[in-house]
Amino acid sequence: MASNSDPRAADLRSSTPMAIDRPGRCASVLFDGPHRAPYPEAMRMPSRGQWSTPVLVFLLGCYQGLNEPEAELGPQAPAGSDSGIDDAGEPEPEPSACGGELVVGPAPLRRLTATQYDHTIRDLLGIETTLADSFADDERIGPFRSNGTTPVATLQVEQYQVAAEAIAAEAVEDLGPLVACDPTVSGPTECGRTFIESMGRRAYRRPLTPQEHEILESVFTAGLDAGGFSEGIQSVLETMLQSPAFLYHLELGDPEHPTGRDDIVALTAYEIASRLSYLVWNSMPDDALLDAAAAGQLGDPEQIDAQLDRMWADPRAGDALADFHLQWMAADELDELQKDPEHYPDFNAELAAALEDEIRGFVSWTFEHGDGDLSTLLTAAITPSRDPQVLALYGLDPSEGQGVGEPTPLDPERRAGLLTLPGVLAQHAHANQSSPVHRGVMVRQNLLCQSLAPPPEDVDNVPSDPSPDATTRDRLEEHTQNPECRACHELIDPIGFGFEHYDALGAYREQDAGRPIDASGELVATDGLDGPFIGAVELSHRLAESNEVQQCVTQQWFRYALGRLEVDDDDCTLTLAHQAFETSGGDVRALVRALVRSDSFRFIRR
Amino acid sequence: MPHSIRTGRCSRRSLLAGLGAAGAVAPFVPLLDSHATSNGFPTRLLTLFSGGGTYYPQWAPQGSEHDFTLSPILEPLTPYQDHLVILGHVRIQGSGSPGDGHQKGTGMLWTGSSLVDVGDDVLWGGGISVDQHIAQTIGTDTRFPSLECAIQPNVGGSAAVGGPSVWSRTIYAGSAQPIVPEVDPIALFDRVFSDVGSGDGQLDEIRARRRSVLDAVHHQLDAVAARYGTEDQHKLQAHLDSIRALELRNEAAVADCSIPSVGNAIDPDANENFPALSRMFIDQIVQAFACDLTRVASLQWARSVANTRFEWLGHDQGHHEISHLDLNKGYNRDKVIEINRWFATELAYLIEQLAAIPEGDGTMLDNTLIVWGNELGNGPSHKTRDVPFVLAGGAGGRLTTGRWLDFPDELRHHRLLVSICHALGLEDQATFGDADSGSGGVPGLT
Repeated sequence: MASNSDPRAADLRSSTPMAIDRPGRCASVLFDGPHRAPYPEAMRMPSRGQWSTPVLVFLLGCYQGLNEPEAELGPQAPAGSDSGIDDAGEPEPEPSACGGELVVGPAPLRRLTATQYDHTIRDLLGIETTLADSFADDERIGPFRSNGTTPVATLQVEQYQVAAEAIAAEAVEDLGPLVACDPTVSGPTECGRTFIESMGRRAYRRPLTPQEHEILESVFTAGLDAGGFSEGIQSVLETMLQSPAFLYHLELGDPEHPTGRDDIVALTAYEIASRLSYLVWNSMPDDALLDAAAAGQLGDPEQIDAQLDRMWADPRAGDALADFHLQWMAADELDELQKDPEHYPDFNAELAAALEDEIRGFVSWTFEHGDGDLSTLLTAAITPSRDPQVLALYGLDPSEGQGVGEPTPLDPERRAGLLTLPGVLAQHAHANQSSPVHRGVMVRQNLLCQSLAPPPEDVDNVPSDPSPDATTRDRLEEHTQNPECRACHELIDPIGFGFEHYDALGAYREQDAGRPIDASGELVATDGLDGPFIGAVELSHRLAESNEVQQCVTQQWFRYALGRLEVDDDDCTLTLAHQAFETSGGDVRALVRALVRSDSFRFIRR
Repeated sequence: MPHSIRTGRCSRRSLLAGLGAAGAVAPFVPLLDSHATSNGFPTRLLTLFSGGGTYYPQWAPQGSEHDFTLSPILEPLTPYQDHLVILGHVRIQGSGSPGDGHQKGTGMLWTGSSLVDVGDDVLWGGGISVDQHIAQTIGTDTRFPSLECAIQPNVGGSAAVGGPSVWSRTIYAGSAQPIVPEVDPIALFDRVFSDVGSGDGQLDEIRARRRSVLDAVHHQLDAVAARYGTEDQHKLQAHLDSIRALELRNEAAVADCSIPSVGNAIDPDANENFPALSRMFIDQIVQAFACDLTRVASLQWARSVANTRFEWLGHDQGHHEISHLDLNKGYNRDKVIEINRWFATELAYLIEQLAAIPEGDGTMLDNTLIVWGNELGNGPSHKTRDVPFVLAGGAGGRLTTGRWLDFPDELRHHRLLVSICHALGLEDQATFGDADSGSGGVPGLT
C-alpha cells in the first residue's frame, strides 16, 4: 500500500516522540526489511504493478482512447440510460473508457464515516450534532477515513442505536418542519405514509423498495397505536437511522444495465448521486441531485458537470475540500496534538484548533479565491488566519492584518503552501523538537506515494540521549553514519532536513542549539525530482512542478473519492484522471471531474 | 439551525435519575445455572492489558514458588500476595507471523494466533481471543456476553497510528475481527446499567419501541444481505448478529441489583484523565460482575506504542518514548519501573474492590480470574520474551494462588491461554490459537 497508513510504517509517523527519530543510534527505517532489493525498486514495491510511474507503457496504451470525445465517458452512460440490451437481446459489452474491455477494482461495502454521519443528520433533519464523536474511530484507507475493512462490532451497532434514539427524540420535538402533511387533516395513517415516502427517499438516498415501505409502515403503526402520531414518526426515524441503507454506502448496481461482464455492474443513478455528494460535500445528496437521479440526468458529462459546478458553489464543498487536504497532510487530528510545556509553554488546545482552522481557511481560499491548482496549494505564501496566536507564530502583529476575508501575505522566502503551514509542521514534529524523519516520511508517503517499512524486529533501536549542544541535524547525521540505517534514512532525512527552519510548532527559526540552521536537503530516488535543494520553500516549489506528485495526488483523490485503494484494474481511471489533471495545468477540480466520469467511479466489480 | 445535540445519553440518563440511581452494590444472590461453580456463584474472567513491556529484573519476584518477595514493580500487590500467581519467563512465540514485536505481541496476546495480512500490509490478529472463546460458553446466561473497555486506545499517535489498528485492539471475535472497545465510562454506564433496577412502565415503553425498531432493522438487513456477495456479506452478517444481540438483550430480564454510582462525565481522550478513567472502568466492571450482568470483561490500558504521559508520576515524556530509552541508565529505568508499578497499583485497587464483595464464605475475588498481560517483555528490545503475566483471584477454586511460577527455560504463552480456559471451566481445552504446539496448559497451574 503506497500510503502513510501502512501499519508497518506507522511507527515512523507518530507526531509524538519515537525512538526512530531520536538522534544518536540506528533509526532502522527500512524498506521492507534489509534483505529486499535496494531502492528504487524496493520503494516502489508497494505499487506492485499498480498504476504508478513504472507502468508508462500501459499509460500510453490507455492514452489512445482519449482522442475520441465520446470515449471520455464511454458511449453508454449507465445512470438513467437505456437498458443496454441490443435487438438480439444479448447484452452489449460495456467498453472501457480507455477502449477495450471494461475492468474496475472491487468496491468494498463501507459504512459512513463519523463526519459523514454528522453531516448527513444535519442535512437530513436540520440537526447540528457531533454525536458521531462518540462512535468508535473511523478506519483509514491510505491517509483517508473510510470504513470498508472490518465488520461492525456490537458496541458500534449499539452506538448507532443510542444516536438514532437521541436524534429521533430531538427531531419530533417540532413536527412542523419534519412532516409536510397535517395528520388531523389527511389522517394519521395517510400522513405517516407520506412522511415515510419523502423522508425515506432522503434517508436511504433512493426511493424505498416496496418491502422497506411496508416494514416502515408497520413500525409507524406500532408507534401510532402505542403513543400517537409523534411516537409513530419517532419510531420510523429511529428505524431509518439504524438501517443499512442509511448507515452504509450501499452499492448494489443496476441490474437493468448489463455490462457484458458478470462481475461488473453499473451503479444506479441514485448510487452515482450519493458518490457525488459524499465526494463533494461529504454528506447526503440534496433534493436536486435525487431529482436528477430520478430523471436519469446523471448520465452525460454535461449533466454531471452542471451538477458539479452547482455543488462546488455550495459552502459544504469548501468544507469537504478542506477535509481532503487535512487528511492528505495527515493533519486531521490536530485536536489531539500535544506539546511539551517546558519547550512550548504557549501551546494550548485553542492554538491547535486555530491551526486546523488555518489549514481549512487556506484550502478554501485556494479554491474560492485562488485558481484551485495543486501548485497554488503547494506554494501560496498567505495565511487566512486572524487568530492572534497563529499570527504570532509568523511574527505578525494581529493589528497589521488585512480586511475581513483578505488573507495576510507571508514572506515567500519562508513559507510556501500546505507543507509550511504551522499546523502541518506541528503535526509532523515531536512534542519537544522538530522531526526531520517524520516530515521526510510524510513527504515520501503522502506526496510521492512511496511506502516505507518499519524497523526490523531485531534491530537495536535504543537511541543514545540527545546532546544539549548538538543540533537535531547533527544528531541525525550521526546516526545515519551507520550503514544499516543509512539505506533508509538517506531517503528520508535529507528531505526532512529541508524543514529544519520550523520548530515543533511550525514557527520559523534561524538557529538550533545556538547555531545557524542548515536547511539544505536532497531528493533522491524520485522520478525526475532528484537533486539538492535548500529549505522547504524550494522543496515545495519543486514538488509543485513535479509530475510524480501530480500522479500521487491523482492516486490520493482516487482513494478519497472511492474510499478504497487503487488496484491494477483501476489503471484506466487513474490514467485518464491524471491526464485531465495534467492537461488542465494541475487544476484539482479538473482531476475530480475526470474521476467522477471514470469507469471506477461509475462501475463496480462484485 | 435550531437544534443541536451534543450527546445521545440524555434520555437514558434522565431516566436513570428518575429511578434514584447510586447506592451500594447489592450482594449477588446465587442463581442455579449451568455455569455456576459448586458454591453457586459464577466464575468471572477479567483480562488486563498494558503495553510497552516492563523492566524484567525489577518485575520478577525473588524467592521460591511459595516463599517469595515481590519486586519493586509488583510491590503494591503485597497485601494480596496470597491471591496471586506470577509467571516468569513467558514468551509470546510469534515466529512465522508477520508484523513487528509490538504488532505480534498485541495481536497474539489473547488470541495465540499469528497475525493475518488482510491486504496492503494491513495486519490483524488471526483468531478469536481467549476471553471471547470463553464468553461463548459462560457468557450465554448474562445480559452481556462480555464487556470490552479500553482507556485511550487510540491516543498518542498520528492520524495513521490512531484509530483502529492491530496496535489498538487486543480482543477479537475471530480472525481479522477486532472488537471495538468502549472508551467512555459514562457511555459504558449507560449501556450496562441504564435499565438495571427499573421496573416501571417507562422502560416497558422504551423496550416495546426498540423491539419494533430492531425487528424492522433486522428485516432490512436480511434483505440487503441477500443481495450482496460473499466479500461483503460477512460485514452485513456481523451487523445482523449484533442486532440479534440487541434484540435478545431487549427481551432479557433486568437484574435485580442496585445501580452503582458513576462519576461525572470526563473527557476520555485527555491524558490527565487516564487515572480517573482507569478507576471508573474498574468500578463498573466490578459492579457488572456483582450484578451478574456479565462474567467476562477486558480492560485495556492504552494501546501498543501508546505515548501516554504519566504526568501524575512527574513524567514529562510519553510512555513509548520512555520505553525506548537506555534502561541501563538509572533515571530512565526508574520511569519504566514507576509506570509499571502504577499499573500494579491499579490491579491492587481492582483486587481490593473484588475482595470487598462477599460471596458465600469468601468474596468475589475467589470467584474471579484476573489475568494481566503485556505485548512485550523489555520495552527497548521490542522482544516478546519475558513478557510479564500476573494472575489474581481463585477462579472459583480452580486456581491455587500465592505462587511464583518461574520457567527458566521459557513458557510459551499459549499454555497460559489453555490454562485460562481450564480455570473458567472449559476443562477439555487442549490447545488455543493457531501457533499452539499442543502441549496443554501451564504445568501445575490449575
